[in-house]
Amino acid sequence: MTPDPNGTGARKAREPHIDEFEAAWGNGRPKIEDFLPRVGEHERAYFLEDLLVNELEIRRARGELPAAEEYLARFPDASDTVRKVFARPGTSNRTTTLLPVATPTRSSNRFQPGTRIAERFVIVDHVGAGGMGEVYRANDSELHEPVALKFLPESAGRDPARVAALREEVAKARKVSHENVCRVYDLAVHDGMPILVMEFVNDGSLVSEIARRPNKRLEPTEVNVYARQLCEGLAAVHRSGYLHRDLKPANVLISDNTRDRKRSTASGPERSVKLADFGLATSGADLTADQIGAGTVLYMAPEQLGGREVTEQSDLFALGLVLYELLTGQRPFPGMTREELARQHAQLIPARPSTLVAKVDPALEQVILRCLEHDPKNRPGSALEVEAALPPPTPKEVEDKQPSKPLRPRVAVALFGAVLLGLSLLAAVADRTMAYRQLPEVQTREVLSHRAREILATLTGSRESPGQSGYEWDVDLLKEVATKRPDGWHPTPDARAPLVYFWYRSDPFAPTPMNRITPADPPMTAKGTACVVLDPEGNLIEYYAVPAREPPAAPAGERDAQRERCEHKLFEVARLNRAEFTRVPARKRPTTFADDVWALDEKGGAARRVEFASCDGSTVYFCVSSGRPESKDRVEGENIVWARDRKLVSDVPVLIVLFSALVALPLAYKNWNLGRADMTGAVRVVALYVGTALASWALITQHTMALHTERVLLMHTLGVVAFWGGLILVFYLAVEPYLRRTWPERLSSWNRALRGKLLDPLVGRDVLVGVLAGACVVLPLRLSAALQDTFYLPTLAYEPFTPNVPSGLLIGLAAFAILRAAGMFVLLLLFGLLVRREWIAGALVTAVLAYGARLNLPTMPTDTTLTWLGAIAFMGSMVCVAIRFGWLALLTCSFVGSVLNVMPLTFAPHAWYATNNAATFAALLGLALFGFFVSLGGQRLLPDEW
Amino acid sequence: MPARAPDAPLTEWLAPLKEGDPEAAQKVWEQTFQKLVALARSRLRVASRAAADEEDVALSAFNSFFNGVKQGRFPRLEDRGDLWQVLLMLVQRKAVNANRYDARAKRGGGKVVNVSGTEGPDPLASIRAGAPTPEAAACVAEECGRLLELLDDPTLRDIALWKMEGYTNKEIAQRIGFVEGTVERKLKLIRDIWKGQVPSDS
Repeated sequence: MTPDPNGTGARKAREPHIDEFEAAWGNGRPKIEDFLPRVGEHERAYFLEDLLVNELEIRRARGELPAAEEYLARFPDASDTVRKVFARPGTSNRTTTLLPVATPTRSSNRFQPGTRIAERFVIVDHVGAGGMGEVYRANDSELHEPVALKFLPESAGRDPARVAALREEVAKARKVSHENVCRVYDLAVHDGMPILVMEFVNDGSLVSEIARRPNKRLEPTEVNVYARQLCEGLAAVHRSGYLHRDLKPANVLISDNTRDRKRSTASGPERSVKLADFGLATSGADLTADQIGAGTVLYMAPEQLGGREVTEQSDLFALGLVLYELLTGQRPFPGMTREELARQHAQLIPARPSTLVAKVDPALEQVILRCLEHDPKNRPGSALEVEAALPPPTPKEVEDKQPSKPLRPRVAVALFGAVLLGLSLLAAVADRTMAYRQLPEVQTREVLSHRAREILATLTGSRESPGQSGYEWDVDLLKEVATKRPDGWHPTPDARAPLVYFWYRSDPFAPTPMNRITPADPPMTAKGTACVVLDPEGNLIEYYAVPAREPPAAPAGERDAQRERCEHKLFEVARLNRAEFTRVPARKRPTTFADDVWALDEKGGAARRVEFASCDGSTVYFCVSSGRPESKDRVEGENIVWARDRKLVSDVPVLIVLFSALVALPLAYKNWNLGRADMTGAVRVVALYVGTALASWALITQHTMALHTERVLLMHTLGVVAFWGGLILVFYLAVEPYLRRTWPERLSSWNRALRGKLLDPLVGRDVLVGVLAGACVVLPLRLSAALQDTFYLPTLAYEPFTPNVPSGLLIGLAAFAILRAAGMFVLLLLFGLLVRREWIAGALVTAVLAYGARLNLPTMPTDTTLTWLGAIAFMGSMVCVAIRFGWLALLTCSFVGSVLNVMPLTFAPHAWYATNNAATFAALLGLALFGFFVSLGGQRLLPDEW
Repeated sequence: MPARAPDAPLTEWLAPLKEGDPEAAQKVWEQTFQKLVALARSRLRVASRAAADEEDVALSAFNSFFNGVKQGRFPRLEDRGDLWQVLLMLVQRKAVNANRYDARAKRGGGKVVNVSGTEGPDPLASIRAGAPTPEAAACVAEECGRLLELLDDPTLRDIALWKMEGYTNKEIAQRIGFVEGTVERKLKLIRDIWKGQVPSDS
């Protein structure tokens, strides 16, 4: 047995739902339909009645005029209930209107729902009445779309000249198509009455929006959003040669975009404003223009009120008034009659909005006050100028700036094909242009470490020599070969002068470096420290040992005998033939303490020379070199010089960055204070950087079991990461809002990716384009190197790449790409502020970056035209990607470029770096595939019939 | 007469007065109400010291009535479907039923809530006479407390109390932040819940 659906128990159980419904009106428009399913079928009718009574009372209290037809259309099954509720005494005329609206004409509501108008439109509902006439919602029975019908006064229809003028206006107005302009479709005639057929906008106007707010104003951030849309709509109207002439809150309609589309595929703002009634005001409603009730005069510029020339600036004055009212909840000029207003609009200076409302962005306030200048000349030049002066759009707006339109399958396939082609081309070119290809086969770290330990065991007698190792460039030799001796790229076998060498360092206790462990960091001072340097094949080329501090108890034998012993041991270990060498005087002393120093030259004028130093009879220094007088030690010589250069290279940007951080800090604080900064985005970027940097550190570094060494390494890394992470935070908060304001569309896909919408087609497009661009931007410098008879090496900042490089380097390159993309955008912004022309700014940034890039090419001459051209093409194409496709594409491009430079692709399976092919290909192809599929947005690649 | 009387104990009593002078009727009601509330309050205070928690609802209700009276706020007599009328009607009905029950057979059961301390057939007789006895007041208070308990919803209880204290629907709507229609709907629900408590005759 079902309980009585209208019994006290059932009613009491429904009460909380009704209360919730009513409470929901406090922050939005709850839908009865959403609440109905909360009760059982048999109770619905009573529940609907309660909700309906409640809703009607609330809507009427807000000055709305709900019509029975609307509800009849919404609840066709419950027409009895709807009629009953509307028939209830005391509910029909309890209305209080909060804002001046025109009183409906006597003939209001003359069309009942279902009436067919002009043989095409079926009336659905009476929406309202304005200065120009009644407005109905109707269905276009041909296109099955909702439209708004505006019935113009009958007097207008009787005058053929006016109808003709209207027709002309409509023909013009139809051409204005913009998402923030309410579209005009047609002019129909019904019973001699002209009817405007317009786009139906579903959520009232700014008047009802203000009325529904408790303090009759919007939040400053909302005003900012609406202001931007109004500017864009107004700009579209002005572009098509119109003046609006009647901009006022009642003419700004609000569209609730969530109603008409599924949330999952939503892009674009949830609510947007649309300008209505532009241009038509003059011909359609001049009858009522003088009546204050029509509301028109309230928003007229002084020149408009004074009957002088009306310009775009007159519309901007109205825009200023509307924004002022939205922001503060009051009109800046209190007058109510035409005379009062004419005087006030021309003389009064309105109160600053910030004195009336808290948290007003000064930019917003300033631009509103500029719009309200009495003299049209002092107002902004155009609606777009107003928009540019507004505070930056919110990250959400930026996200919605570009439509997430999937790429056409043909384009996506073409792009992906281009990526494949580009990568193949690079692999082919890399074998002929990259310096890596010219280096001899390099043994893996394990093989060379084993060999180094063997040598150390022989020389020092200690059985276990745990230590650190690494590869390094012989920088001087590299530069010399690159610029002066092209034949040096193919050295004679066993010349003991490799371009890349391997070092192995063994310490008596775990070393604590300043930065990272190298033969020179920390300096070798402790007794028992030893270091060997091997060529890529494992031949000994240098040996260092720190001698004991205390002299031996008994004097060692003859000096010559001592030398013999040293030579015997070392020549054997170094796989050299003593008989081919003859003793000569030493040319230099080693850096460690030694009591005997001598050298040997290869007989027969061959290139090699051997240097020795010993202390108390044991060898402390040994070096095989090419024998030219200018050759230096690898470990203590040029390496130190290079270390200094390298530090300089890294120090100068750090200093620049630190100084700019001092500027950025107050800026970041200001942005944060004004609510402009994107804290969520900044935190996510920092987290991304910190995550990638730490992961890359954990994967790349040679970890030891010595805790204090590990701790120093970790602390150092944490310090570096915290430093850059902190700077990124400050810079993001300081600079990003300006980027957002200047180029919202360039941050669109980035903001979507940052907020987790990784599968958005736009994100896919930018990633795909970024991969392709990355493959392209690395070409010019390689070609430039090839044309200059040398080989391309991107930078010395990385250790030379080794066969078994950890894949963590990929992650490290990602962290670097973030910094590089950010840097480029900051430069574009700064130069953009300086020169105001985007292409000039782009050219200047290209020049600056090319100048810097040129200096960082160790194997190419710095001042030749070809190098300049290569560098300009490289940086110029990156700048183009940044300008055309935005941040995400630039980031991807920068990452892909770095990967291709540091981990080159090859077609030669025997190339020593060929083992990285898999990782590089996987990374790049994976990115491209991701971009490809995401950019399709779920479209099928092949038509169904396949 | 018995068919009509229990439905409208106060209306019937004040009807002649109201016809002549509504102001005077309100005045009589206010005086009676003042005495009724004061008596009930003092009576409940004694009772609650000894007995149970159920009395607390009634006591706090009567405290708030008392405060209202002190501020010169009385329930309006002309309010349609006044909750007091329902309350008094319930008290009377119960008494009638109890008497009938006792008269029919001495069954010794206590199923029908007994209106304690009332000897006469109609406990409201003394109230109508303008001089409520402490017993009648206690009876009203007890019933009032029980009815408030019955609502077991804080909002409904608040609305019932405010209404019985003499607030208008509009004032109550402002207090709870809802529209007037909601207050009307909830009052209707309260009245219906309470009327459901009328013991059936059969």
